[in-house]
Amino acid sequence: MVASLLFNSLTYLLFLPLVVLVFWLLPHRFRSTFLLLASLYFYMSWLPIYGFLLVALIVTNYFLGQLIGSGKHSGRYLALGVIFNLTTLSYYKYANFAIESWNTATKIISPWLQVPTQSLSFPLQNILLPLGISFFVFEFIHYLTDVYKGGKPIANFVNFSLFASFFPSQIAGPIKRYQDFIKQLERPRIFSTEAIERGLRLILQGLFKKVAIADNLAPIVSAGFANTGSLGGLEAWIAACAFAGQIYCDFSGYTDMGRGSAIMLGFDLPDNFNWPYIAKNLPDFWKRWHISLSSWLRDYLYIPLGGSKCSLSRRHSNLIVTMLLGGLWHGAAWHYVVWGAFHGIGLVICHSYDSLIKKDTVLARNLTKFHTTSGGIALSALLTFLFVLVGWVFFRADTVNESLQVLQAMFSTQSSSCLTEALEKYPVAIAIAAYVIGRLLVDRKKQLEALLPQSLRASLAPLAPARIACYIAFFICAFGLSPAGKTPFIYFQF
Amino acid sequence: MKTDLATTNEKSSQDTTNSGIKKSYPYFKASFQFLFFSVASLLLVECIFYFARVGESDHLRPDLKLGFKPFANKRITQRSEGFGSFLFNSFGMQNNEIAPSKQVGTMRVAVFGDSYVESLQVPREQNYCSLLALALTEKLGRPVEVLNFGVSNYSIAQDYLRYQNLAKSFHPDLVIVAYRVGETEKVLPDNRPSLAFVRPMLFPLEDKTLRYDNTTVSNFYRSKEGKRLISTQFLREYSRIWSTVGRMQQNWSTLPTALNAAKVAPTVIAEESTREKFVSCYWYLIDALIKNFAKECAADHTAMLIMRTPMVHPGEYILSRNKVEVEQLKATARAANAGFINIDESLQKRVSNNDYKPYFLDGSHFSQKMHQFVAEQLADKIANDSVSYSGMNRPASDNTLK
Repeated sequence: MVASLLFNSLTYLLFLPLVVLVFWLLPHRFRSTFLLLASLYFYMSWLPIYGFLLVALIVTNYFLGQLIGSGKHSGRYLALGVIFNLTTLSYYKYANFAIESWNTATKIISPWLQVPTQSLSFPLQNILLPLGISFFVFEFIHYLTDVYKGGKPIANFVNFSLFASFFPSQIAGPIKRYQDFIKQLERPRIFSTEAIERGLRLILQGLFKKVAIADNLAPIVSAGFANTGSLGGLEAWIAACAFAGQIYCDFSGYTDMGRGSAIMLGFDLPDNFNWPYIAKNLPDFWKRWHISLSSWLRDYLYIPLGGSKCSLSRRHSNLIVTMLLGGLWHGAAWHYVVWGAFHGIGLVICHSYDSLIKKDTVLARNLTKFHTTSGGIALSALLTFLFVLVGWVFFRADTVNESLQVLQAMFSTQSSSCLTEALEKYPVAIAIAAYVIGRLLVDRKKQLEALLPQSLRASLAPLAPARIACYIAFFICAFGLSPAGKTPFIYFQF
Repeated sequence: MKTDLATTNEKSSQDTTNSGIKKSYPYFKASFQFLFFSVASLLLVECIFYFARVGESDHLRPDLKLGFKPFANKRITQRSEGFGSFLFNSFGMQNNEIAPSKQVGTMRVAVFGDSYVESLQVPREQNYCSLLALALTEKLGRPVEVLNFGVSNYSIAQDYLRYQNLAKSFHPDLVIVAYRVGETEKVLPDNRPSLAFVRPMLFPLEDKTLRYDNTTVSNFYRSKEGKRLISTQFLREYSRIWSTVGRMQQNWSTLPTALNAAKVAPTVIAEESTREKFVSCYWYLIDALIKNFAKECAADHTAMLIMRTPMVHPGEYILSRNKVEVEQLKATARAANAGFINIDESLQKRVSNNDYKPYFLDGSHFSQKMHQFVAEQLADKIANDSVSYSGMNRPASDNTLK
């Protein structure tokens, strides 16, 4: 096994430029095949044997897509496809979870049945979760469903394989829609230095978020969640907020790097994040957080269940079921289920509140008015963030019991010193400040230029060499602020 | 129609002018900007690193006599194992600023050794030198200063040379030499092309005196890496970016290994019996060094205590043992008229079920608990044995002479 090509690894820094270079040097007709080979190499660099699993899934889904597209027994083939994909996912992801849950249950029922526990329990299986399986299985289900609904199946096998294995989105999304991807794949692509630079900027931005911010927050989070029993009030809040920051910077950093890599190859991947922590309410949060997953859950779970075009109670139960399964998708553990249910209940409350303020009453009118004021917006955003924060505690803790300990600690007045060393050791505040400064310099470029005298403005508008110098400095800054050792992306485990 | 044509002509002539401008790329402006933006952005990064205490782990500088030594007055921050941020004093010691002359009645203890003494992994006030000073002051009822002369990767030969060049001027009453597993290897020539392994040798002659040999040192500083280190000393001392780029280079150099992870042989830990044979073979070097060091200390009215410190394999928390070495060390200490303390043995007595994890950090250096333990053991030993250390029995007035 060779070293895995993680986006934050040095090997990827060699792999990507090489792929980009060869890709643009090759004639158009060979590019898709080359990208497919590069994507398979990328996947197999982690564990070669699982490359065959990916290929098997691609081949099966390709033929199922063709069969569904032919129109004969398409419903049966769709059902077969969905079952096949979900069974594969369940085997790798949920088999041990099911066995563990069953074994726990047998401890309760065996005395009642008067049978020894061992005779009812099963041993745990040695199963390693294939990287990115949750993401590409969802892409396959989307493909088969859309073809069933009348979409045109992908005739070209290479194109289909590339849709499923495209390396910038292979491991942790964004979950692509095949219509957009194939359109991009088939259109003639022209090399542009602007696109390369845009991609490079996104990669650097993502790298900084990941290695300088998320990786510095990770030990603080670990120290907090490893001592849930002895956390003080302030430490519990710090650990929870640190995790909110870590998961955002980790996942959005990954997405930025994936999108940047895709842009360099002439593709546009959908964005997954849009300032989620300033969301006004919970439905708004889900429109801003992991957008490609929430839209997938909406289109392929919530709407097929009946969506909002049914009775109020059914609609609420649809929301809870969708979020519950969304939680389970994140990981085979009860705390993810609780996290999903927590968000489901939150969405039900939000929808009920929304229905309430839409009524023609004085209270409703006043509340609606309040929500348009800046104070109202800030309060809603704050409450939404606090709700999300509590949710993250369930998400991060290893067990439901531990998450309850952290939540309990958040309301305690005691203090502890379990985060002191981590807070002192890792320069998180400086990394965040550096990122904000960097973003301001880039995002507010025009306003900053306006501050300069007219004569200086033209001479200081940076040409390519100057911009390269800045990118190098930014890279050094990201590397310098990163802690020693490599931390894997959080979403790789899903 | 004419007007349209004219407009078209005007447009095409404008395009030509624009393309003409594009063709003549402003090289001067580009070079100027490159320079300006490089300097500005690097300065900004340097400021960020300053506040983040990043790029401050490089603390050794070339030295043609000692091989290498710490930078003086440099802030050192290390995060690889534990966390520590320190300002080395003007003598290049992991110690607060201290004057060579000492107050009447004050006892001074100088501790020599490598990174285990230097203790960059815990706050300065929690390393065993600082804790020992507090404990001894209380036990002996007189002010005690413990000076930390530990330098990462130093051999006993380098300790001896550092005593001659620097520590002597501080008039210590007691010298503690920390000896841990692997010291024997450090007194043999090492050709690894890295600053941390550039060590001069002190070889015993027939008359038991030592012969200083700096062949390894001068060879290294004649090499490409040695010259690079000397020429970039300023940057290594003052630039945090330089230090960071150095770390980056180190990571790049591990890339071929990462790419061929399967082909890399697993780390081999030498068997105990092999290590015992090795130590027996080269013990005469350590023996001569300690005896000469102790002799010179005695001539300076300074007592010596040899301390055997424990060591674990990184990340494994299994004590590295070598019975032959301990016996040899005891015999050498006795012959050199020096005290001896075996912290390794005391730790084994203290710890049940071989649970050494609380005493060591991930990379095998001492945790705060271990520092506390070493300080306690040393304080008890020094307080109990004080009568046998000639230096400590000197009349208080004698201190003023030094």
